[in-house]
This record gives sequence, C-alpha cells and structure tokens, in this order.
Amino acid sequence: MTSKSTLFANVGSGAVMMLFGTYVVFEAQKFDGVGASMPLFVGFGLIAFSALLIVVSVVKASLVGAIAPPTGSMKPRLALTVLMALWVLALPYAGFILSSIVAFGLITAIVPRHESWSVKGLLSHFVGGVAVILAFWYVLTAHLNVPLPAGQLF
Amino acid sequence: MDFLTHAIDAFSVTNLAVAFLGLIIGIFLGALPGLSSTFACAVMLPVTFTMAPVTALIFLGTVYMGSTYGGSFAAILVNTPGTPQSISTTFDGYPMAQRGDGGLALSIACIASVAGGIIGIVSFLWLAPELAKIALLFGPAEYFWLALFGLTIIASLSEGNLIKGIICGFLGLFLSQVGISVVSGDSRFTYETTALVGGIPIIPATIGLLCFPVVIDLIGDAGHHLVAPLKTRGSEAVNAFRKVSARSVNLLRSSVLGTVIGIIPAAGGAVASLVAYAEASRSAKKGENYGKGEPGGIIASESANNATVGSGLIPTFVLGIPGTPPDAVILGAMLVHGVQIGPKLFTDFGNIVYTFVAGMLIATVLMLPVGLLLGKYIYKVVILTPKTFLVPTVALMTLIGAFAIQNNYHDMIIMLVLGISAWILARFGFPAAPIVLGLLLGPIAEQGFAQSVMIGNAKGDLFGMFFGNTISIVLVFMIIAAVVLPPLIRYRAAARFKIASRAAE
Repeated sequence: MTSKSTLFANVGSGAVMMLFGTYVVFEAQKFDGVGASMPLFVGFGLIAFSALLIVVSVVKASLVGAIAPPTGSMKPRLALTVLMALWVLALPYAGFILSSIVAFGLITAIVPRHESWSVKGLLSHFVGGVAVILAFWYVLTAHLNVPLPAGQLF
Repeated sequence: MDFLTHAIDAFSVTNLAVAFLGLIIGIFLGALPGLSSTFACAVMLPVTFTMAPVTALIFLGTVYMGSTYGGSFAAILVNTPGTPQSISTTFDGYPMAQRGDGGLALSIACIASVAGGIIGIVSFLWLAPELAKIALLFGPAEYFWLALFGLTIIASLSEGNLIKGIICGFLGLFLSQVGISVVSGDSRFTYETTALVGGIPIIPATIGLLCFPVVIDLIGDAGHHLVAPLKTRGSEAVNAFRKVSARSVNLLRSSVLGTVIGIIPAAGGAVASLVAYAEASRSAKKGENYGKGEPGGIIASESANNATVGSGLIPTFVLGIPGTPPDAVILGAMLVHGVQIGPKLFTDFGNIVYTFVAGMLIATVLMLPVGLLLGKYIYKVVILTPKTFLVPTVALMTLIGAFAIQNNYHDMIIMLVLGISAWILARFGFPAAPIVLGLLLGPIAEQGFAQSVMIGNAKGDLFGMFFGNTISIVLVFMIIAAVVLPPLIRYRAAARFKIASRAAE
C-alpha cells in the first residue's frame, strides 16, 4: 500500500472504531450501575485509542506501521466466504453429510491451481473428501455423542 | 514430592498415545507454511472436548511443541519458515540444505528443540509454584490490575502496532460483555437474540478469530504450498549429536534465553529465537560463519523457540495471562475442561498440572525419535497434501470445532461472523490474538473491578482499595513495563541481528 492509502486506511479504521466506541458508551447507559462500568470502560477506551490512532497516523505514520495488502486473488477468498455461509445455512436443511460433500467439492473447485484438473485428480479428491467427511461424522456421532445436524429435507 | 507422585499418571497408555499423536499432528501442521502454532492448537482444540482434562492438555501441549519444531522443516529445506518462530532457522538451515546437509540440519534442529523444550518445561516446574505462592495474596483489586496487565500485554502481541493491539484488546473485552452480566444481571448487547444470551462462546470465537482468517488467506494463492525439498543425505543423527555437543554452551545459553523471554508475556518464540541467534552470532568463535550454513545458528534458534513453550505456560497457568497466542488457546481449553486457573492451581488441581508437566517432558523426549526417524516421512506427507484438499478439510474442521463444544448451531454462525470480521480487521492491521485474549480476560477484569468498587465504597476508601497495597503498585508498574519491554526487546533483537549480520558480511 502507498503511504497515502495507508493513511486513509488507518484514519478510516480509527474513525469506525471511534464510532463503535461511541455506540458502546451510548448502549451502556441502559445498564445498571455496576453492569454499566465495564462497557463504559470499553467504550471510552475504544474512543480514546481510536483517536490516538488517527492522530498518530496523521502526525507520525511510521509509528503505526504500513498495512501490507493481501497477496493473491480476492475472488477465491470471497467465494470461500460465501460458500461457507451457504454451507452453514444449508446444514439444518440438507444435513451434515450432504451439505458437507457439496461444500467440500465446491471449495475444492475454487482453490486456485496452476495445472488443470485430471480425471484421476478429481476422483481422488472426491473420494478423499467423502472419506474425511464420513470419518468425522462417524467419530463424532458414534463415539463422541455429538449430534451433527441431520437435515429436514432428506 | 507432588511432581513425582503425579508424574506416574503421565505414563498411562492413553497419555503416551495422545502425546505421540499430538507430536505427529503438530509437526505436520507446523511444517505447512502459513499455518502457525496458534492455528495448530486452535484447530485441534475440538478434538480434546471428550478427553480427560490432563489428556487434553498433554495433547494440546504436544501439538504446540510439535508445530514449533515442525516449522523448521520448511525453514531448512525450502527457505520458507513454517511458523514465525522458525524465521531465524532459515538463516543457516537453508544454506546447509543447499550444500546437501539438509538431513543433518533437520537432525540438529530436532536435538536442539528437544534440549530447549526440556529446559523450558523444567523451568515451569521450578518457577511456577513459587509464583503461585505470591499470587495467593491476590484480592479482587489485584485481580483487576492483573487483568489490566493482561490487556496491556495483549497489545504487545500485535506485531509492530501497539495502538491497534490495544484497540483489539478492547474489542475482545466488548465481546466478553455480550450476554447476561455476572455482576448485575443485565442483558447486554444481546439484541433480543437468544443465541447471544449465554455470551460469546470462547471456543467458537477462538476458532473463528484465529483459524478462519488463515483459511481465507490460504485460498488466495494457486498451486501446492510447498515444492520438493532439496536433496539430503539422510538424518545423520550421530553426526548431529556431535555437532550439538560441540556447541553445548550455545545450546544452554539459547535455551536459557528462550526460557526467560518465554516468561515475559507477549514476547514469544519468534523474539526468543531471534535474540538467541543474534547472541550466538555475536559470540561466534573463529571459523564459525553464521548466515552461511553454521549449525550453531540452527541450535540457537530451535532451542530458544522450543524453550518458550514450557516457560510461556508459567504466566498462563499461574496468573491466567497467556504468554503467547497458543497459550491463550491452551487457557481456553483449561476453562472448557473446568480447570480453574490461578494461584490455587497447584494445590486444587496439582494432579492435573504435575501430570501435564510430566506428560510434556515425556513428549519432549519422544520428539527425539519421532523427529529423527519419522520427520522426513511426515514432511513427505506435507508435500503430497495439495491445497485443494487442505483448504476444504480445514474449513470443515472449523465448522465442526465450533459446533461440537455445545452442539449449538448458532456457534457456527458466531465462528463464521467473527472469522470474517477478523480477516477484514487484519487487512487494516488489526491483529486477532488480542481480541481472543480480551475475551478471556474480560470476566476477570469485570469481577475484580466490581468487587473492588463495592468493598472500597463500603470501607469508604475507594482509592486505597485499588492502590493501597504493594502488590497493586507492583502490578501497575508491571503494566507500564509490559507496554514498554516487548517493543524494546524486539528493537534490541533487531539491532543485535543487524550488527551480527554486518559482522558476518
């Protein structure tokens, strides 16, 4: 990141944190005296240190440090996040095994690769993925008494 | 002696098997670039839920130790540190591998890791009960200051940015406020959602904050995470023992340095290995070329970073203040298993602590044959594991881990939301580790503060309640030192390393 964009990022994030601190202080007014003390401490702390972050970023940026941009592509990251959210949402309906097999396959597909997929590679990944999911399901449900979501649709 | 009485329990088949398994898993995860010891411990946390407390701790401890050593594999063979603790291992490890001595370098790293690990654990056994005697004198005000001390040190955990670290500490404290207040009974920040009434659960939050951002980062790059290692001439264990014994002063000095730095909360293995490397380089004998494949460099780095594993547990166990992020995960595991952290740990839970320490000692010794004989095979598995398989497997483990602790569907959502938030925050330079520690320390700070205010008001001496005794004053000074010391140590380590590098040139 350039020094200008770092400054923008630091000041912007500081402002967001400051707003959040203000919200915490505002919310703390609703609580009982003793119950409000810690949220107030947190809120004022956030406001104070966010203000400090903004000031230091402007006055002596080297003290805050540069922000390293993420390496690699953003698209698979975004896709992973969306897939994970869909996976969690699908769990109560499709159940652990089905939703996990589908999600496992889709996540495998979005991991960037230099080489193209071969039939053998696809097959080994599919078998391996299903084996991992079934192994987890078996150990958790049969031995550890963890009732993984069974699903309503199937 | 308490230790010997309970040490026998560590020799049970279950504990030995778990220690062995923990080492293998730890070495495997540590050898994968991008996966730190913190990740290794956090992702393995759910596996411990059904274990007995001491078995769970032995497992996590050995995963931590194994991953610290595992970081040296990629550092030596492909010049890519598997964990931050192994950065200085690359300086001499990779040049050794380049000239065909990769096997020798790995064997030296293993022996040094074992020696450092043993010294760190013995220091725990020796120093922790003494510290616990002092901690027995603590009242609510002292616990409040102690939690604040923790909050100040968590800021230092942030790599290079104190202010952002402190802000993240406050964010963690905020998360600890969610749910029904233990001091007032208020329902705080629950937004009328039943999922939040019980508060933010520690384990799903830890997995979300520490593991999920790693998964998001892993998927950004293409292809395999490691290439085939340079050719080696086998493990060369006997030769390695000779090299290490010829540098026993370096080994001892680096292990002691690692132990001392490990006790300082927040300094951690990365700082310890850099300081030890710089010191070894500074006191190099004639003919020792640090930075060009000198075995002493590996000895210094690996013995120091493994020594921090044991010594870092001292503030974690006695004060409830985690020395490093992996210690925070171990602390979380202790809370889940109902082990009460604090000065009474050695009296109330002596059986667990001493058996755990004995288990760690056994595991450290076990690391010698595991590392020397199985190390290269574990590394081959690392290379053969494609990212296309690793990413969905780890993603699956994060979901299962979040769910399994309370069998609660909402915990997966909390894990996901916190994980995505932590990744976004990290993009702006806000570290996740202080958030986890803030979450852990929040209840201690709040209870200490509320009780102190009530007692102080009843006595009519609120100021005296907070500042009226020596321990409180000492803790206040420690808070100041916790902010100042770690950056100072890092600065000194960097300066020494610079001087050493110039001298080597």
